[in-house]
Amino acid sequence: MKDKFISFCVAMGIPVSSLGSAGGGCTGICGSCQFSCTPGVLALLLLTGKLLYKKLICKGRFNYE
Amino acid sequence: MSFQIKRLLGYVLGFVLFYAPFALFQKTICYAMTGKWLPLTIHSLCFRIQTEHLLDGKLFNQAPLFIVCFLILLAVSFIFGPVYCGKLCPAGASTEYLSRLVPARFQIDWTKYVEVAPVRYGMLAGFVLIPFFDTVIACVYCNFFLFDLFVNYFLFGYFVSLTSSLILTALVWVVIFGVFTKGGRGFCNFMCPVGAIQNLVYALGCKFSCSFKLKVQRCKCIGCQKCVKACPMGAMYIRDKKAANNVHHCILCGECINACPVKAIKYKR
Repeated sequence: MKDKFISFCVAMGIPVSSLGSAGGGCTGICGSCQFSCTPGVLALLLLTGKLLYKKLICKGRFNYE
Repeated sequence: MSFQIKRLLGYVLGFVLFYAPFALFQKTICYAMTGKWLPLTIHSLCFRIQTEHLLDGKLFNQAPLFIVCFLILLAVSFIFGPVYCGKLCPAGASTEYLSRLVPARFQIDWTKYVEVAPVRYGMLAGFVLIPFFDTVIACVYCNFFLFDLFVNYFLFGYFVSLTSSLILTALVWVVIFGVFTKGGRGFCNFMCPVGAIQNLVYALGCKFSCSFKLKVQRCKCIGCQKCVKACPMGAMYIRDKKAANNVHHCILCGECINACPVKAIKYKR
């Protein structure tokens, strides 16, 4: 349940982070927004990290067996 | 006619119904409402904008055509499930068909590592929260728009320059969540708010006997997992050695029904 809640919040953060981008004057051209899309990128990195961590654990178990 | 050909024809029909130069669905509704046959495109019925304004009260400030099309989508999802995604949406289908060109060993099965429903509904929640802050992001990562651009390019040689957000969307939609994802529907699973809202309505509709849904006859199921392997959305899974269906990310494409050797999966009331 906790895991689901974290995934939900992180995923919710991706579109919500565009608020910072719009406020920072994001025009959709890289660099012009002073990288205010960083929270969204961080959320994406968190999800990727979680995925890789799970993959590593699975691999570890497989090697052990 | 084989199931695969029928399915492909369904997506061709979806293209004829929703995308320019035909866009027969919105043109017919517009004609019924105004008596005029206008040159409309996918943007004339944009399901993403209406989904975004679902909670902030601006849904009914949209053009009547927008509202009618969106209400039809919700009603169809409630009674028949997300058939728009599974049987008509050519944007989602294009990456699914492209993904068949890439060997399975290069593809990631995201459903093994990430639970789809919380991410899917999380993205939807963020998407409908945005308009409360007077910002609209419906077009920012729109795969319908990209599909329309690609079609325009191949049919008419017309193309517009892509913003960085659309380039990123193309990369995520076609490459990461497309050809390098098992089933090719990672974008549909995680990032499409139109699919998420349909599945939410479908999950609600499943509680009523009047709606159509996917049913697995557990007494017939032999647990061969063929449906699990065939499902492009990763919505089929095994529970107690029998197949089960997750209504939160099933798009009713019918691949599982076709793959089942004992016909244990049915789409019925």
